Amino acid sequence: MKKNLSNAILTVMKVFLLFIAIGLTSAYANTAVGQVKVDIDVKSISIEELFKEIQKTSDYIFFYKDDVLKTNKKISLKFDNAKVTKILDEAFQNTNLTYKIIGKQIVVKKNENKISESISDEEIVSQEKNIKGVVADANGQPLPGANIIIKGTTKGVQTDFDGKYSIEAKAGDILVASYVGFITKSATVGSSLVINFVLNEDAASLDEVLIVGYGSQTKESLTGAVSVIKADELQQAPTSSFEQSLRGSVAGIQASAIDGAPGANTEIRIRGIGSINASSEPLYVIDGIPISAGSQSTNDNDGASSNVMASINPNDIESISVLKDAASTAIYGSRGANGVILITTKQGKSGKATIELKTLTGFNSQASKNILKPLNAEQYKELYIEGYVNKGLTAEAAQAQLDNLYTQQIDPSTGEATDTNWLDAITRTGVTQSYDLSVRGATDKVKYFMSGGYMDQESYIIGYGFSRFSGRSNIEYKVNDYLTLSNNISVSDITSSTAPDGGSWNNPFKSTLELSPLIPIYDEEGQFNSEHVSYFPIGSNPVGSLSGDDLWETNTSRIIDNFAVSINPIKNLVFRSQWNFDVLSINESTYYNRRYGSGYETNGYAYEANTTNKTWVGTQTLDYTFDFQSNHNLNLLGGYEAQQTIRESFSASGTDFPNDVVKTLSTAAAEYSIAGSKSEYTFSSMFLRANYNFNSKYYLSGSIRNDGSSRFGADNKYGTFYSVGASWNINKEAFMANLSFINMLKLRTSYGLTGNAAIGNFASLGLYGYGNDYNGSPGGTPSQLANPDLTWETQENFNIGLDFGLFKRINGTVEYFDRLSSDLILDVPISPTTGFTSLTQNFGSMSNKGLELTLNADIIDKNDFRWSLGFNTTFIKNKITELDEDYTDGAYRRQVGEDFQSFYMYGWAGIDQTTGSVQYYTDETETTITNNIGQASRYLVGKSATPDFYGGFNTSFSYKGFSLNANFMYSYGNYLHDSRAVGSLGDGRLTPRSTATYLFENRWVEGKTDALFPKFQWGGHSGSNQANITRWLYDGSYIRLKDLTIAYSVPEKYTSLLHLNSARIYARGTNILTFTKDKDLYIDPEQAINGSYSALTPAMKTISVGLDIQL
Amino acid sequence: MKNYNKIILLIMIGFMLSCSESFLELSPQDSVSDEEAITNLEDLETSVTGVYDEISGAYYYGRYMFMIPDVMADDVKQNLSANRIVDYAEHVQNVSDSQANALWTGMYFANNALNNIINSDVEVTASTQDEKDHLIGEAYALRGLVYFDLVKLFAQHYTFTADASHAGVPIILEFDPTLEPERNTVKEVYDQIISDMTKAISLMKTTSRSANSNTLSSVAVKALLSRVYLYKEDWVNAEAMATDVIESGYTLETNANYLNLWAADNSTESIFEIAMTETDNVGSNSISGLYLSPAAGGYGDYLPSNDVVSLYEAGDARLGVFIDDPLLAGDYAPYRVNKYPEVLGYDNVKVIRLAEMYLIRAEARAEIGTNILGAQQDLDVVRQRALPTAPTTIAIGDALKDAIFLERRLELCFEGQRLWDLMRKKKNIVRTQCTSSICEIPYGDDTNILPIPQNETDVNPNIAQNPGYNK
Repeated sequence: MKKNLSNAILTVMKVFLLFIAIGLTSAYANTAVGQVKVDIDVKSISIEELFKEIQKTSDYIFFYKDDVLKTNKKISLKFDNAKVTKILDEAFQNTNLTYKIIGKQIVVKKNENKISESISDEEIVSQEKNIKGVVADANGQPLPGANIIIKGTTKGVQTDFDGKYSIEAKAGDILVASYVGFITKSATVGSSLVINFVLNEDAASLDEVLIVGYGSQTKESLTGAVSVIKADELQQAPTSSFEQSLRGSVAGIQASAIDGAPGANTEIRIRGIGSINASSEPLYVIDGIPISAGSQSTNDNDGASSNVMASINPNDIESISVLKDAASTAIYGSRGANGVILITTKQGKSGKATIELKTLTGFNSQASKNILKPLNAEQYKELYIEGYVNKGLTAEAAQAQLDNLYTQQIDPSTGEATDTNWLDAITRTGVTQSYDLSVRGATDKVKYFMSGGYMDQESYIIGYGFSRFSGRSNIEYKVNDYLTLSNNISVSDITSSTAPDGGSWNNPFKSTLELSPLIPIYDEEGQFNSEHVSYFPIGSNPVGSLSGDDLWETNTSRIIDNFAVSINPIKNLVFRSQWNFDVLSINESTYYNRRYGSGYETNGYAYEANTTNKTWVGTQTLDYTFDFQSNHNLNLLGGYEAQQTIRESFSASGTDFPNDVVKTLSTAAAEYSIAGSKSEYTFSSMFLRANYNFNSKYYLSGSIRNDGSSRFGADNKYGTFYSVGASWNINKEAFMANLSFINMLKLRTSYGLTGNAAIGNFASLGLYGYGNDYNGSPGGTPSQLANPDLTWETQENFNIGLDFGLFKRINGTVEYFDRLSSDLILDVPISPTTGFTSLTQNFGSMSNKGLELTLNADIIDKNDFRWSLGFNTTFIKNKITELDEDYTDGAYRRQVGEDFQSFYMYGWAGIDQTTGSVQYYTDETETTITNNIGQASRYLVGKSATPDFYGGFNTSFSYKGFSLNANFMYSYGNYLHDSRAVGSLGDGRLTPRSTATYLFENRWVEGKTDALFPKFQWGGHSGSNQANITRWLYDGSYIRLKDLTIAYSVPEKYTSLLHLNSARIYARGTNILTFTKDKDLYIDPEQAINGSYSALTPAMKTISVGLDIQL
Repeated sequence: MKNYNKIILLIMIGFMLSCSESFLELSPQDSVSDEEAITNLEDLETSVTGVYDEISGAYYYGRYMFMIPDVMADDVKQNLSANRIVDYAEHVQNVSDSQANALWTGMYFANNALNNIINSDVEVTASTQDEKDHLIGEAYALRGLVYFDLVKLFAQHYTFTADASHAGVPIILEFDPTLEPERNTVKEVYDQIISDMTKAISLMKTTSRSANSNTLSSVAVKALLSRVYLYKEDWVNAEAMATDVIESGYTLETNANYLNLWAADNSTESIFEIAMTETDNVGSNSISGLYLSPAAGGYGDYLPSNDVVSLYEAGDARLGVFIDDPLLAGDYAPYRVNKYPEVLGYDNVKVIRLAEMYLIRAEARAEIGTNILGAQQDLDVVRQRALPTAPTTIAIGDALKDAIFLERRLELCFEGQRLWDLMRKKKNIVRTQCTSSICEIPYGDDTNILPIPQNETDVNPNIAQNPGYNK
């Protein structure tokens, strides 16, 4: 049934597009001219009425003084497709009027020669003088094309390329400066002949143009929920990827920089988690192309330190639109369910070329001061002996153990007993440098933006680094009135170096806590200590490893090209053909040295891998705006899109190296191992969208998309997704006229169906897999159960929002959403006796409901002094609404009626303060206590990783050239689970690994009554190896000052001396302050969205200084 | 103008056409459809090889099929730093234990792959019928082996009840993803094992495909079957099967070359061993990893107990598999096991070898009681190979049985057998040199077998949990 319907819709869409195609060609044949020509058919009207008529049917605007049109001449004209000059020449016959066309402005004047006799004495008294000035934005950027109008008249001018204007005005006249997207300002003409305007951006402006899927819309016409992040929030952030700037930026988005290693991923969820087993990551679209995001390498270092989005230079981004509801995302069909992040890169701007140079130098350290610290030698020895004594050995026997096995070493560099602080030894102050040069401008025909950037970031961990070279060229060439070509190309090359994270032996943070402080870093020969016997967990030496003895390098090259042809054959019709290529090539190199650590047993180990990921996307769209010459306005968009992505990877490893100088595979003597894989997927889609409005007051929108994909099962190949939306500009109603303090009031709502196709490439097929080789022969086994019904996850999405603006100072949005994700891909567990443990099905459903609040206020807005506040928050309730069967998934219980991220654990009843042993609750009643975890059972502990609310707030002050901006992010009510504690704080479970001072100071000893940890004994206690205990659960609420910038714009009088347009110096702190609700929290609060701490690198703090200059 | 028309028309038509169905029909590059997987002889061979690979993993013969029963018994003691499978050493394993789950899941995964082979319908020519029979026979034999391992790990031994009517494991012979099976009795499982192995012997050739002990021959299956009969206390058949194997041409390594048995692959007495090659091995997840010292690159989690080491007489060649480690102290001193000498996990895992055949026949003959001399001689073959100076056995009756039982311990320690020997002899596990918190576990204790994994009981309402394990 679903398939039949889909096919029917597909057929209809094909026919529709064909119709458009044929219609287009015939329409094109009838039309020979572009927009500059006008149809006119009027009888006996005044000149003023004629001007209005022309303004209505074209883009021209007339400027003239009131008295100019004092003529009774009536005009009758009839022209088809006439040039405006021809019409005006005809109309102005026998008048004393002349005109001049400047761009889209037509300035009408009296012919001075003919009217000189009519100037009266009175006019001489209040003689007009020439007022000049510059219109600029808050950053001092000139605004070309801004309008300056004398209030109460229609007389006005526009600023030139340098933002300069000059106008004839009388004293007492009020000049009004306005510019799209900025708050209008006025000034009264006094004695001064110079009036400069500084316009501030108007976040609430309804004229603001937003980028949406397959086009752009004014804010006024929007029916969907779209938030925008502007370029100035992304520029020169000392972070490797722009995604980190999204943290706390707009309502509805939960972004967490889960890994502090340079180049690492940022996890992003838009309006909650929409899927259980498929991806919950949003779709990323750059300049119209869906692109590959996340980690694409064969090995992401056991963590997340690999992110292809870091290949995009944040300075190249003009804006980021976050699409949140169905009205905005349904046009992306089966890929829209998790929201869409649209990235638009900078385009050329009309005006003279501006050249910008941005530089930044920063110093990196660890953001959270509260992390676990390693033991010193004295503490380690004390704990070591205690561990055995508590196990029943005599103190002498325990001492003998220590002396025999893990004896105190002498540091050869000092000759004294070693007391190594491994944490200090692997940390440093890293340096970040960033340089960015760009040029941006336009001529009549060509708009261009070009940039080159270099960023180099050293982590606060030795050996960790990230560097990026990037170049971009965005060119748009207007061939003629109806043909425009554009090409955006970006090339980048990033290199990152980080050790494996998580449980890996090579995770430096893990090692610093587990290594004994009794062993030195260097041996007698000054080499990194490779003493292998018993001391190091598998003999690693993180300092040597990170100092170059071992190697972990990932090099990513990426080219994204976007070529488009736009044809504008007749007025209001645009055909656009866009072809996009995204080519990613990732090279990974790993080397483990021969002397110690992972490469010791094999006499060196090298691994090399190459991954290429190629995507092409072809998008053809037709966009037509119906012009009813009335209050009705209808825009239609139809399109076809095809995508193919092919990923290939190849990896090889070898062992047994002649020395540690040569590290290539060709120098390996033994144990070659190779692997390769290839996988692809395709999408083929058609879509339609209609936007209608009446009188710019009532808006309706609808979209429909049909997606076919290679990923969907044979019985469910095509899916159809749709949305409807409506909005109402209430403040345009007559009854609102008296409520002048309300300058905006808009109600909008939408409903729609979207999908989540991130289900894996061949999930529906029954497969027999290979690679199960034995004794040199190829082997194969059944590897996947078939489910031909398997298909996308669906999501119903309802949204209602109110946008408001008050007193021209305050604006905000209140929005409610209800996402119901269903047909969720579930690996429904089946009896393992079948040979499989689960069957992948579309089964469960989950709901995310929430409320978003956004508020921005300009508290003070004087010419010199400005203070504004911004605030956003999102309340969210997640609930699993349908499952085949409740099940336990690691630390979580997936249970109907509960939050998806509900922790399911053994209840910790604290330490028995008289004996120092562990205590657990036997069950959820928490009434009975046991020392034996075997007698306890897990239960829902009523805590979840999902925050009650999260968001961000910011404030900015500016006074003259100085400005101060502070951006905070926060999360409240979420819990964090330290799943690594069983290793690093294991009550002595793992002999003879060291531990942290937190355990040392809080362990039970005779007489201590507030112990947090049990009696320390080697081998641990009952449950010491169990991570899913509430003792490892912490309140994760926090506030982080993610960005603090103090800047000074050098006044023009100095910059002009240096022939600079502008210069700005600033100091910036990133992640400089962090407040956690739980004072004992010993991990960075910014963790994976699922709340699981898995020993990823803690967040980085950067203090930087920068200089931006503009030529 | 006309040209523009044409260009636009072409673009339009072009993208209409590109929307063909085939654009969306992709197949994976590294798998084939399960329906097309077994269509010819080569596919059969590939599929049988795939099962050998499955049983070679760390969660089966690669490590835990030997290590788990051994740490549960009395030949092995925990080292200070023991971490892996320490719950088993302490007899506190629970239903959510990941090793029990991996063993259960892996064994039934292999079972399904084997059913897939046995139930396949491959047409071959007369000239290749033998090859097909042999491959199908291997599948039967491996299925028998998998059920034998399942029933040993997850159920009490055969003689735990008089008629072996206590719960065994579910027998699944056909693929059905909706199955929620009950447990068959131990007797039913043994009957299935014997049926599968007997069928295998009838189909297979006496030489293996690999011409060595890395894959099964009919003789190797007889060796496995003789062990099955032994556990079932079907002495007559055990003796018969062992005799067939002993007479089939394998020879014991000499006393001088005894250690070669462990250092080399495919020795002359090896009947079936799991291949580990340089490019395909379990790496550090190997048995050697758990025994060898950190100095040698292992984890060194487990040590040989003096309980067993002290039983050898001076000069016994088998003492060569214990190495002194001066870094061990106290109860942990002084030895390490060196039966698995290759720390990189390259050791082939010896599943069954000729020495055990002599010991099985000796035990069967001693139990039958009609050929005591034969029993004594079989025992001496093994004993005097290790210690040529050992006197000829003259014991009879229970003393002979005890001597055979002792010899099994001395010969087969650290080969994953001790626990089953204790269980079928209804003996307690007694650890004299004990580094665990539990030093004696009585016969028949609930903790001597593994729990049915929670992943099974959660989804299968029909399966009964083993006693002593809560939900």
